[in-house]
Amino acid sequence: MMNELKILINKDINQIKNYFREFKENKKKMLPILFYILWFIFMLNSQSETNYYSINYFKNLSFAILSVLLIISITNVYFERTSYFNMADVNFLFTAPISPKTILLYSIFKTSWKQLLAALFMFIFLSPSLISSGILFPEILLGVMGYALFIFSLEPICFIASKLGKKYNLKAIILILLLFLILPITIPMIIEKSIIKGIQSDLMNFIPLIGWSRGIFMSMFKISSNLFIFIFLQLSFILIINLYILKTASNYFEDMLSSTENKSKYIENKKRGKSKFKLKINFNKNKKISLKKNYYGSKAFHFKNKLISYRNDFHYLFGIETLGFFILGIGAIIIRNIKFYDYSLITFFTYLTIIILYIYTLFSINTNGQEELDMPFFYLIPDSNIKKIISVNQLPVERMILNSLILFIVPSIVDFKNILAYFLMFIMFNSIYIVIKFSNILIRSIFRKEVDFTLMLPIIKIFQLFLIAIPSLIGVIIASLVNNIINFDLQIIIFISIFLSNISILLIQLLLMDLIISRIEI
Amino acid sequence: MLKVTNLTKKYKNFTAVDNVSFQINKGEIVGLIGPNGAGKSTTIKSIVGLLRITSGTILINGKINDSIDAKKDFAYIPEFPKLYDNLSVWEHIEFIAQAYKIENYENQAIKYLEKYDMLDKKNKLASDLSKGMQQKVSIICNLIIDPEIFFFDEPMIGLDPKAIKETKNIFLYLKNKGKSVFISTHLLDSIEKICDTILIMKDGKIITRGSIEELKGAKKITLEDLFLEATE
Repeated sequence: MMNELKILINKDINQIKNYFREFKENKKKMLPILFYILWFIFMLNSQSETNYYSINYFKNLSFAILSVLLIISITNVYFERTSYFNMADVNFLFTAPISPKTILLYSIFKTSWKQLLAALFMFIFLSPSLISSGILFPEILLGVMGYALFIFSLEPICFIASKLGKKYNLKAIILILLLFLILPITIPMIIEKSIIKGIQSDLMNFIPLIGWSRGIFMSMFKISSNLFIFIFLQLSFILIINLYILKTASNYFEDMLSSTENKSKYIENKKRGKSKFKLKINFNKNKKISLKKNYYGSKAFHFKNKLISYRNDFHYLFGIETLGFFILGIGAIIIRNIKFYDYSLITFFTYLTIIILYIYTLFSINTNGQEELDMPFFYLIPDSNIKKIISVNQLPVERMILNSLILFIVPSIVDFKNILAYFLMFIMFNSIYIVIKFSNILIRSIFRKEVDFTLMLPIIKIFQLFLIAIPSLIGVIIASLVNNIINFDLQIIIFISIFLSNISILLIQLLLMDLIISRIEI
Repeated sequence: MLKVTNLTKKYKNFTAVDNVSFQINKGEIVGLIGPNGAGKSTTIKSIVGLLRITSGTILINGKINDSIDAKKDFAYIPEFPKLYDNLSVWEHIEFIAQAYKIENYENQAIKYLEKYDMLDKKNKLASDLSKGMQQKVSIICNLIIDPEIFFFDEPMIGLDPKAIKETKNIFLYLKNKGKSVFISTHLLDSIEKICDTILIMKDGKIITRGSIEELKGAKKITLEDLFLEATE
């Protein structure tokens, strides 16, 4: 076994060496690393200027980080891309005369090591604000431990869920994960009758995994009397789950085959900036869809998008996300009525709009149909580039108009006195959404030749946020100027200014679109 | 060398391979042909232990196919070779040599690299190679293992004409060395002249088997005609 492990370790040491050696050959690859270092230094500096962070801040922060990690992991199980391996492992290791248990044991160790490194990096990053909050270095290690133990539990859970999902119903396995890992989170919130108070409650520390880890993490600030219980529970869980994996490890190749393929495709697409978030729902998978055939030239893209939407959703104009917007609108009003938050409805919806747009900005580069730009036929179809771009984006914009209408219609009825503000918010929301769509095209045309889109993504995102923020910033400046001249509701003036500024920028972009697209090489 | 008995592979209600039996003798080249979705890749993946078989037995040199001992006796070249991005061509060879405990492989590896015009790419990282070159590396890595039986899944896909010719020569070279070769493909002309036995697969079953001469009989037809006659 030791010999086999040595072979695997050698292989990975060579890979790491080559990764760094490549920087000599290809200096461009250093750019993202350089960016991260600068960013890191900047963040360390900016944080050292702050003096104090409250315990509640860290309670919220740790809860948010752990929840996001949990949700990402469950999503990976759902999309069948949880695997300790890559395709080269399948081709070379699975057929080699090396014990499957050794391969698995080593892969678990390798994954955990990577995660521990990531945890350490995160804590080095957080250390100035932790130290300025009065935390000593040994106590920071408790935080690292809380985070690392959580990560060490997550991967094995996902591995087992993924394996069981092949044998039994995957959706049932996901449901079980949600029931045991996500649902209990709501218990402290219900008891405290507040989301925020629930998150900050010590009761949360008793929830399996997220809670235990948070309990260990928060012992940085004040050693909990239950610290050893949390550590014991978390370690026992990790031990049991890993023993189970190793006990059943002789026959996992087939279970890992499709997950590894999916994971490899996902990583490959991510590197090329083509990963898409798409729910696997085909409402009309086998239904014959008949659409009018009068979509000629550039309109063919709209036709194709409609067909795909019909296939995947209830209707080409609305689907699962429409339902999501509806639930969000109604939900916000219901939880407002039971006083889960203290803002006015219009303020809450302003925040909600900003959050939704922020999420769209963060993920839209990977999601919104810009893959058309990588298809040769996009350039070959004999029609104007502007028309093609409009046609490609027409349906997503139509859908967003409908979705946002559904989001804003209920609050504007309930909070009727602010109906004008909701209407303007709706207009502003959609204008920013269109700016996001167009900024994607611009980004795609600028960052086309990058080898690793994942590494470049933070730089791209900052650039994109900058692109989106400029028109809004101009809008806010105009609004403040106008506000000095005419005496009107500032919020309304801001909404109008942002909308007008977005439209102006869009028109300029559209006029430049021919030039932008003609610069794209595939 | 290889004995497959009543091999069945099911995915829930779908039977991908249905009660298939055949054997390959020492020094024999066997071609498994069939239309898309016939079950060729599933058969080959089941034999090399990447898929769990639903029923049946697979013996390689008398050993159960997914045992460590059996793995020393075969090499598998997948349809879509995936290499380690950050390993060079030579480091792949070194890694495989270590994994299969092969000594004094260097000269042989260099010969294979020369045959496939890859000697000058020896220190290139896999991520810098084209798909065809990656396929060549995958073949070379498996050739240096020098096992008793080789499994090739669509080996010609992505190769340039010279590499296709070299691969055909390699098949014959392996046969002359007394090795067995099992090739799954749908490129009929690539195997017509080199296979001793042909298995034609359709809907998970082997519907025809025999040497090309036996299958053609007195008819003056090509393998393509034979294939179309059998599968349509």
